[in-house]
Amino acid sequence: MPNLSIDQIYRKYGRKRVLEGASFSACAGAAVGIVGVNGSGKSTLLSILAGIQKADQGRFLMQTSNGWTDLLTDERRLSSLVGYIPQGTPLMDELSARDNLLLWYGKEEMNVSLQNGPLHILGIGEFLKTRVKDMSGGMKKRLSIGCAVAKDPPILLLDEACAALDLPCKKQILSYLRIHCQRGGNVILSTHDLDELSICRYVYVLKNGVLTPYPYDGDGDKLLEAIQ
Amino acid sequence: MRRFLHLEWKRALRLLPTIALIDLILLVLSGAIGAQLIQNQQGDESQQKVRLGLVGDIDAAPELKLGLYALENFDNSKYTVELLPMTEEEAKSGIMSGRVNAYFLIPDGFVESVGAYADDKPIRYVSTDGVVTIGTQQVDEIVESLASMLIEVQSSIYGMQLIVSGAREGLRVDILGDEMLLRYGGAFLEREDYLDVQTIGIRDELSITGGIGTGIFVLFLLLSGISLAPLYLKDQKPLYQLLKMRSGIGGVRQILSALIVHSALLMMEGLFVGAVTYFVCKRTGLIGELYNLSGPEALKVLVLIIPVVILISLTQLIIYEGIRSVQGSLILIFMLSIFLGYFSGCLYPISFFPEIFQKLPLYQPVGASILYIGQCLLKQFHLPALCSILIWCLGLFGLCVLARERRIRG
Repeated sequence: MPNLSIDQIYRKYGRKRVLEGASFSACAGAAVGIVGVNGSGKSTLLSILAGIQKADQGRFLMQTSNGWTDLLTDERRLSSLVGYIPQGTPLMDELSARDNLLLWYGKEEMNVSLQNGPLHILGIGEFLKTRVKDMSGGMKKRLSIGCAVAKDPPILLLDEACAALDLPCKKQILSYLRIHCQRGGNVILSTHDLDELSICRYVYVLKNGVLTPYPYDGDGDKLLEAIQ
Repeated sequence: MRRFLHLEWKRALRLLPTIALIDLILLVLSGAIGAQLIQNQQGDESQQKVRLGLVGDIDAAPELKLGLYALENFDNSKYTVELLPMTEEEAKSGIMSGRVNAYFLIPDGFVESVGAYADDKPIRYVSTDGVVTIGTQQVDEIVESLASMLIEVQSSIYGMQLIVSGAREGLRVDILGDEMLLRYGGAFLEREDYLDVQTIGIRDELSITGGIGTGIFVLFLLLSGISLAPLYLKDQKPLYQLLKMRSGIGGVRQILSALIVHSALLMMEGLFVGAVTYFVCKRTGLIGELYNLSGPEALKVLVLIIPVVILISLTQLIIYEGIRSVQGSLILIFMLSIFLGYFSGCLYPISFFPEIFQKLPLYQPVGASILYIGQCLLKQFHLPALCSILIWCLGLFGLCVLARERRIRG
C-alpha cells in the first residue's frame, strides 16, 4: 500500500528537458534511491519535491488522515512533512552547533532530541559547542541532518548526503536513516554511493530526464552500465 | 524571522574584529585622501594669489609707504594680491621664472607728481606678452585696479595735507589729517560695503572643507562594503533554501534581515567616523559646518542620514547578491565606489564637470546621498535628494529580493 507517490513531474530549463514525467511510489518505511550521472536532474527532482523549485507539471502525493494530499500545492503541509538536506551545508560557519540548532528547534525541544531523539542518534551532543568552521565534513553533515529533521518530518530528502564522508560518519548517518525508516518514515535520496543504496528498498535510474526502476542487487558494475 | 535575525546579529558580532580591522585600514585610506584633497584645495587657493613685484624707492616717501601699508593691511585686496618689494632686475627675472605675475615700477618723484596733480610720472606696469588666457586677463585687471587704488590713496593723503595746510593757523593739522585720512581711506577701503557680493559655493552652499568632508564620508561608507565582506564569504544558498522551505522565511524577509544587520554595522561605522570627525572639527574648526553644530544637532544629523546608510547598504547588498564570487564583489564595490564617488564630487568638485554631469548626481544614489548629507550639515532639508534616495532604496530592495529568490530556486 503506497504511502507516497510522485506523479508525472516535468521540468525544463529553457529548451533543455530535465525531467520527463518522473514518477514513483513508495510505501511507509521505505527508502528510495535515485542514481544517475552528474547533471542528470537528481538535485532538480529533490528540490522540486522540497518545494524550492517549481515543477512545470506534476504532483507529490502523500497519504494523510484526509486522504491523498498534493504537497506541491500545500506549502504549509510540505514544510511540516518534508525535511530536506541539500548538497551544501545550511549552516552559519561562525556559530556553534548549538546556535545553528536553535534556528530550527526550541530550547526544550533541542534538549529532548539531544537526550534521546534524532540529535542523540546523530551524535551531535559531542560537538555542541564547536563552531561550524572548526568542524570536520562529517560533523557538518550530521549537524545539517540534525537541523533538517527538526519537528521530526516523516519524509526526508537527502541530496548526496554521504558524499566525501569518512566511514564511521557514513555509518552513523546510515544507521540514523535506517531507524527513521523503521519508525515508518520515508527517505528519498540521490546518491553516487553504493553504501547508501544498501538501505534503499527501491532504486531508480534517472537518465535523459526519465526515471526508470532498477532492480539493484549489489552489483556496482551493472549499475554503472545502466546509468551511462 | 526573529530567531534568524538574532543569529545573524550574533554572527555579525563574531565577525566584528575582522570588520573593524579592515575598517581601520579604509579609515586611514579615506582620511589620507581627504587630507590630500584639502591640502590641494588650500594649495590652489594660495597659488591663486597674484604676486606683484614693487620696484622703486619706496622708503624715500613716507606717504607712499603709508599707502602701501594701507593696501597691504586694511584692504581686501590683501587676500588676492601679494606685493613684493624688489629691484627691477629681480622683478624681470621673477617674471621669467614665474615667481611674480607682473611688477610695478614706481618712478622717482611719483609722490610729488601726484601731490601736484601733475600726473606726469605714471606708475609703469610690466607683465609678459605670453598667451592670453582668462587667468592672465584676470591678473591684468587686478593689477590695473591696484594701480588706480595706489594713486587714489596717495591723492587722498596729499589732498588732505594741502587742505589742512591752507586752513587757519593754530589748527591741529595732525589730528585733522588723521581724521580725514581715516574717513576718506576708510570709505575707499570699505568699498565692498556698497555691493552685495554673492559667491556661489563650490559644492552648493557648503564650504570647500565641508564639501570634501561630506564626499569622503560617503566614500568611506561605500568602501566599507569591503569590510563587510566576511558576512558574505560563504555561499549560504542551502541555508536560504532551508529557511524558505522549513520556516517560510522567503526572499523578502531574508533580505530584510540582511539589510537590518548590514545597515546597523554600517551605521556603527558611520557613527564612529562621524563622532571622531565632529570632535576634531570642534577643536580645529576644520569643517565649519560641523564646528557650528551643537551636540544634539550633530546627533540629529546622524539620525537624518539613516536613509543614506540604508541606501548604501542596499547598493552593497545587491552586489553581494548578484555576484557569486566574493572577489568579484569586492572588485565591483571598489570600482563602483570610486566611479560613482568621482562623478558625485567625492574626489573632485562637481562644478568642474561638464554641465550634463553636474545634473546627474541627484539621480544617482551616491550623488543624492552627498547632496542630502550636505544639506543636513547646513541644517536644511533637501527634499528632492531624499525622494531620490527613497526611490533608489525601493528599487534596490526589489532587486535584492529578486536576486535572493533566484538564488533560492538555484
